[in-house]
This record gives sequence, C-alpha cells and structure tokens, in this order.
Amino acid sequence: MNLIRNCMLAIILAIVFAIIVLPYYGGLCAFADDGTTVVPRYMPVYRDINPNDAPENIHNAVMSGYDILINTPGYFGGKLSCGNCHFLGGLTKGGKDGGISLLGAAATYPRGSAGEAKVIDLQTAVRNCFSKSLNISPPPPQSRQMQSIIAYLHWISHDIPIYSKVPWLGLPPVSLPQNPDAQNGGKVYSTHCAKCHAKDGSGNKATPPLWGQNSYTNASPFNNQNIFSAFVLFNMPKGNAKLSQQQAQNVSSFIMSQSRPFWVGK
Amino acid sequence: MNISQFIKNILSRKWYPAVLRWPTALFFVFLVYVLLYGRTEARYNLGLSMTWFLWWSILPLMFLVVGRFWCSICPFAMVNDLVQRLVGNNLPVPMFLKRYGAWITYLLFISLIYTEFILGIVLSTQISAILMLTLATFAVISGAFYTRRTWCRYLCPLGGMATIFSKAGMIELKAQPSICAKCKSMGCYKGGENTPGCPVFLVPRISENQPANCTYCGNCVKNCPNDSISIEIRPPTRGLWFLQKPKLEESFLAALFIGVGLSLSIMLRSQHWAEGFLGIKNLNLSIAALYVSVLAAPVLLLYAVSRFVSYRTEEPVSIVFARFGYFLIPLAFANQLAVATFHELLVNGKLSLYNIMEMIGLHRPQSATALVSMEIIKVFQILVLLAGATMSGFLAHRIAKSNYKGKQVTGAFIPFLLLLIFIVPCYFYFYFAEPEHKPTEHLQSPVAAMPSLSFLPPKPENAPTGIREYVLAGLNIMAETSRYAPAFTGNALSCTSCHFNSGMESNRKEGGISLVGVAAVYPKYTKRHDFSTDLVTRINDCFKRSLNGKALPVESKEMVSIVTYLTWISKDIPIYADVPWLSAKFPDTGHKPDPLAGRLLFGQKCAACHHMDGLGTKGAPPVWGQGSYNDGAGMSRLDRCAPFLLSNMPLDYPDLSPDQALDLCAFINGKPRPTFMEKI
Repeated sequence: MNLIRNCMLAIILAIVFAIIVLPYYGGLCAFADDGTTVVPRYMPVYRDINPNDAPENIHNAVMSGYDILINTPGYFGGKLSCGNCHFLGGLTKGGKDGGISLLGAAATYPRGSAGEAKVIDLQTAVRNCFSKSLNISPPPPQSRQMQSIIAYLHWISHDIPIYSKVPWLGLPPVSLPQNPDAQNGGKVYSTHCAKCHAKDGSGNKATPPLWGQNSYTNASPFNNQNIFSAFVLFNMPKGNAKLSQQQAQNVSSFIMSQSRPFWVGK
Repeated sequence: MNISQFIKNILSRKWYPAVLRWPTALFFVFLVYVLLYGRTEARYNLGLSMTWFLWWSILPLMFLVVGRFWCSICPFAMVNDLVQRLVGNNLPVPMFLKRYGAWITYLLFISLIYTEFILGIVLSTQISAILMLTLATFAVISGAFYTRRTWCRYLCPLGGMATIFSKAGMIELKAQPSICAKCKSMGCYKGGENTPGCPVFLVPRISENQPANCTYCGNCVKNCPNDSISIEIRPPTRGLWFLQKPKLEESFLAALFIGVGLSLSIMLRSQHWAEGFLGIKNLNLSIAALYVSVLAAPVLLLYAVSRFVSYRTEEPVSIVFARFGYFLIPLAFANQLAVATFHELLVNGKLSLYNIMEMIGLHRPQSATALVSMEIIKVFQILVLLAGATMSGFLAHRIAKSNYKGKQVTGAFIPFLLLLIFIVPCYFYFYFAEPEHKPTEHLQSPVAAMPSLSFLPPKPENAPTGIREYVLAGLNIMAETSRYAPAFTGNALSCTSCHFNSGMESNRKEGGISLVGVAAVYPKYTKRHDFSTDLVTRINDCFKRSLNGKALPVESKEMVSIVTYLTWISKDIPIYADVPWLSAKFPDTGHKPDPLAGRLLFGQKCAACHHMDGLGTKGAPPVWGQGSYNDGAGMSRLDRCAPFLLSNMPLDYPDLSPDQALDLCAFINGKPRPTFMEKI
C-alpha cells in the first residue's frame, strides 16, 4: 500500500515538475504570435567574420564598405585610413595588438557621446570619424559610399543583440601614470616609432602621419592624452606592443605637442 | 433571522464550500490554460485580466468583509487537499515553520512585488503562468507530505496580507468557552466522521488566532456536537481595539505594508526614480535598493517612535512596537484599496468583459475599459486614503486608551499620531506625483499604452538615462508626428497610423505594422534605391512618402530620436536575426482587384470611421485626399496595402477576406492623393 502511494506521489511530482519546467524552457525564447517562431536570446560572442559571406542583395554594399575601411585614401585621397585605428577594417577582437574593434559596434548605437551632451547614431559617429579623425568631409548620407559603410558595419555585427554589452569594444581600461614627459617622449619616438612613422611624423606608405598637415585634427579622440596613450600602450609598435605605461604616456605627450590640422566643425 | 445566524446556517450545510470550490478550481485551470496558450498581448489575455485586474483588485476588500473566505475556495488549497487525499503522508508541521512561517511569508510576498517591478508579472502571460504553476507545485508538495493545509497556513505569500486585513475585518467566528470547557470530543479540531477537522490548525475555543486565520470553511460548525460556535459581525477594525496578545510580526507587517504601498505608488508610476538610486548603475539593483529603503523606512520610523514612547512608559520597546504597530493597518488597507481596487478595477474594469466577448466570438467593443472617469477615480482614492488615515488615528487612540491610564494615554498617543501625520502626506505625494516624462497616450484604452512583454519590446520609459530623453522624444514623434515634427510632416497622418501603438505591437492581427526589431534588419536592400538602405534613409522615405513631408536632416534631433527609439524597442534582438513578426503574409488567390466592389465594401466596412469621403474622422486617418499619404508611399501599392487591411481593418475586429482587401485597396488607391515629387 505504501509502495503504491509513494509511486503515485512520484508521478504527480514529475507531472507538476514537467508543467513548470516547460514554460521556463519557453522563457528562454521570445515567442511570436503564432507561438511557433523563436528568437533565441544570444549573448554577444566574438567570432571571425568574412565580409564576403554577406547575403547577396547587400553583398556589393558590404564589400565596398569593407574596401572603404581598409583603403580609405583610395576613395577620398589623403593619407589616413579607417584601418589605421580599426585594424583589419575593425574585424579584430580589440585588446593587445588588436586596434579598436568595430565588430558589434553597430549594436551599441545610438548612444550618448562622451564629448557632446547628446545622443549620436551610427551614421553620426561615422561622420564624426570622417571630419575629426580623417579630416575629410564625410560622404552625403544617402550616397552609396555612406550606405556601404553603414551596411558593412551592421553586417559585421550580425548576431550581436542590440544594446548588449560587447566586451571587446573600445580600448581596455588602464590607469596610466599621470606625469607625461614630452622630452623623454621624443626619445621614445625616435627609438621605437620613427622607423615606420618617419622622423618628422609624416608616416610612410604603410603607416599614417602622426602630425602635420596630413594627420588627424585636434578634435579627434586621438588628440586626447589618455585615449592615445592607451592605444599606443596596447598596439604600438604594431603587432608587438611592448612600451611601458610611462613610455606610452611620454610618447603620446610628445606627439600631442606637435602641430596638426585644426577642426573647423562640420 | 439575523445575518450571523444566516451565515452559520450556510456554514453548516453539507454542500458548502464544495459547491463554490469546484467551479473556482475548474475556472482556474481554464485561466492557466489561457495564460499558457492564449494571446500573449497583455490586454487581450483573459487570464491576465481576470487574475490581476479582477481577482487581485477585489481580494483586499474580500479580506475586510468576509475574512479569509477566499482561502476556503482557493484553487491552490483545492490542489493541496486533493493530493493529500490521494497520497498524503500527513507529516506534522515542522517546528521552524510554526516559529518563522510568518517571516518567510513576508519575504515571499515582497519578493513577488519585486519580481513585478523588474519583470512585470501583471503584463506577461508567461511569467504569470509560471507563478501560478509554481504556487500549485508548492501546494502539491505541501499536500503530499504535510498534514492539513500547511502551505496555506504557514507559507502562502498572501498569508501576511490576509492575516492583518482579516484581523481588522468584519467577521469573526467564536465558540462559547462555557460550553467548550465541558467538551471532550474536540470535533472542531480533530474532525468528525464526514468532515475533516480545521484545515488551518485552529481551535475555535482559543480565539486569539481566529479572525486572522479562519477560512470560514464551516468544518467546525459541522463537527461541533454542542452547537457552541457562532458567527459575529463587527465593525471594521473592531478586532484590533482590545488585543490581548499583540504579535510583533503582525505589527512589523503592518509597517512593512505601508512601505509596500509607497513602493507600488513610486515604481508603478515612474520607475525612473529608481534609476541610479544610491549611484547604482544597474537598473534592477537600484530598483532593489530603492525598494528595500522604502520598505525599511516605515518600520524604522515605527521603531523610533516606539522607542521614544517606551522611555516614557518604562516598558520594553518590543512590547510598545507590537502593541501600536496595528494602528497602521487601516492606512495600509486604504492604500491597497486605492492602488489595487480603484486603480486596477475601475480603470481596467471592462477588460475582462471584452476579453470574454472576444473569446466567445462577439465583436470586441472599442470603447474605453474604465468603469468611471479618471477624475472620479482620483476623488475616490483621496477619500479612501483620508478615511484610512482617520481610522488609523482613531485606532492609535483606542490602543493607547485600552493599555494606559490618565496622562500616559495622551503621552503614548501623540507620538504615533505625529508619525501618522508624517506618513500620510508621503502617500499623497508619491501617489499623485507625475512622472517627469509622461509617455503619450496612444489609443483610447488606458492599458493600450502598455507594451506586451511576452514578445517583448522594453518599455520606452525604461531606457537608460543616457538615451532616455531621445527614446521618449522619438516615441512622441511616432505617436503624434504632425505635432512633434511639424516641419517635416505634410499630412494628418502619424507613424502610429500604420505602426499601431508606435510600432510596439507584434505583427499580429490588429497590430499594424510592427517596428520591433527593425533596427536589427536594416540596412537592407530596397528596390527604391536599388542598393543597401539604412534605417535613417528608410525613415526619411516614410516621411517623404507616407507622411507626404520632407526628409529630416541626418543629424537633427528628430531623426536621432526616432532612430534611438526604434533601436531601443529592438533591444536584445540580434542584428540580422530573422524577425518573424516583421514579415506580412498574404495568400495568393489570383483574384483580380475590383475597385467597384471595393467601393461598396468601403461604404459597409470603412465609412463609419474613415467617412464616406475618405477624409477620415478624429480617430481614423484620411485615406485619400490632400491629408493622406502620397502616391509614392508603400500603402499606395496593392501588395503593401492589402496585407495591412487584411490583418488590421476594420480596426479591432478585422474580418475582411483577402479578395475583399484587394478590392478595397484598388478602390482606395484609385482615389486622388498627393503626388510624390521625387518620383522618377
């Protein structure tokens, strides 16, 4: 008798458990109206992305966006390219020797901008890059070039949930020593940087000019001591970042003391 | 026959309470089924509207008038009893439950409210269903292992509220001590041949816990061989006047309830007050922090005042606290009434009715769901709160009078009166404070503004501080385009004319064209541009074509606001995911659209709202003429217009056939409308 009773108890508990677990399981998904279709809630996951895999009807846009990012001067002249900061067209994972990743960036806009007390969307951010960092007037909003860049940035962010925290974006946080020495920076520059970026900072075929007429403007985020130092610390010399925190501070202070184009607004 | 005699008569009947329990339980099963498999939009789900807008609203009132009568017909108790009869092991109640059960109950209750704040139980069919089933599981466990209704008496999250409200309630079950003293059978507790004993562990003779826990199931009446039990009707709060043994946990709960009431007013009105509370960036955590502080404040205040009084009366502070805590019960009750009953019941009262009408196949009425106008509700709420406050003051005086003598009465009474005078304005302040950003009301129905959580756009007002201003500005433009973006709008339409509820509906019937997830699917190829087109450009296409206006400058506040709004309501959707509700299906019947048939249909189905001349009325936009969309708009194309009509028109009870939708579109789009200037 006791055996039968306990078996029944087990069965009842199992049924109730099943009833409860099923909706929980469903809770991981969002149901559409017909109750069939499911959008899994992804986590942002970094993986290799090949722009060439873009679906056919936006393929040409994505590819030309990619081309603009890695070969900006080919389209707009000048000596700077998006890829100078966003290595490999932003397809990297950031961090050490990874430049500033753009993979997933599209999922984080529109957002409040650090510099201005307003929200900027992706297109505005791209335009800011053009006018402040590349010192080029941005292509018009509906132009194929702009549309291609936006399509590319979205495509390389595919599967990243909108407004999720994408950990590899931006530069890794670091607290730098706050006593930059520009004079010492000059020495660091000639030891570690001048070989590629030239003594007068004008760069060579493969490297961007760091100051002078062809470099970024004073309104670029790179003209900010902390941002630039962090970039140098994690990425320079390219492919083999090895400067100390103090050296990074010093050399960026040295580079910031040089002359560069003045941003005249949009 | 007087009322108490009448009630006692009912209680002694064999068919009571089974005659009420079974229908309730069956109806409950039906409601859970509706919650699980019914429509997922909050306001269209009968399960949600019945549970939260009807049952939950009436519950406090029931506690006051008929005590815990609900508990005797509660479906969870039914589950408990059935399982117990089948497989019950009848273990005794664990000691720690007897000792700490009340505190666990409170903890469960406040966690439930917290869950409501962060997940929105009331608006989510899924979470509500999970809640119901979880409670049912606990009832099963309790029934399977423990004796009687252990779960109900010691653990049910509603227990706390039930206890203090019923204790102040209007009904009491009493036994005559003189008769009971001679009794040896104790049938009331142990049970008789046909009827079990008291399900909630009460002995009627010991009256102390009686009104707080009795469920009026009538078992004791049926089992008593000496007819010792009687029912007493008393004025509300009378039960609290002469308490012999005040309980610390009940006083604590009364104060806690004041905090719960405050937090309901604060969070449900304007959750953004929680944002960044104590500098915590995580919204859920800051809500928790604010919630806990609001809960703690009244308890600490009561403690402080009790401490002060205890110095003067030279008693331990715990005794004063336990004794006087009860005086807050009427105020807590009044607030529950103002928030739950008046707000939910009167504002959404007809919702359940509409949902039932829809379910049995009648036309769903379009009128508002409120039973009385909002102004009257507000007046009611003020009056109820004031009445509750007065009762509380009176009760404090009563308690002081029955415990102290002479000067000490005023000495003990005044500090508590001051406490009351401090709390009541807080209530009013939080109750009537308006949120800083008031979202626009989109449709006539007050609940219409609530997005449906199950499929899941986040609420615009929950956007993080950095972008909230833009999200709300975007929402305003969506809802009333010609008012908030007048320079760019060329007609009387708004985004919400096609994208109902500002795009926050899914693409269901009557949902318009959903915009939840658009930020994830653009840029995409469009024929118009024969190239990849980003969201900004697409929005401008709407402005230039459907709104017959001008393109917004790319970096204008209006454009960024709209983009931010659309991105926010697409939150958590992976970029380039396949968003199922964004695609419209239209069966290909091979029908040749016939404008003449369309004209006839228009008169039958559309003219009532859109007017026979197509110029629209206050609630319905113009569908042709200068005030309508131009001939470059998607809606002016058969393949866009027909699916829209098929699933949305006539509004709220779409019943067109695909062929009829095609006919109507052919007719409507054959009518004159503005010309799109950039058309090639």
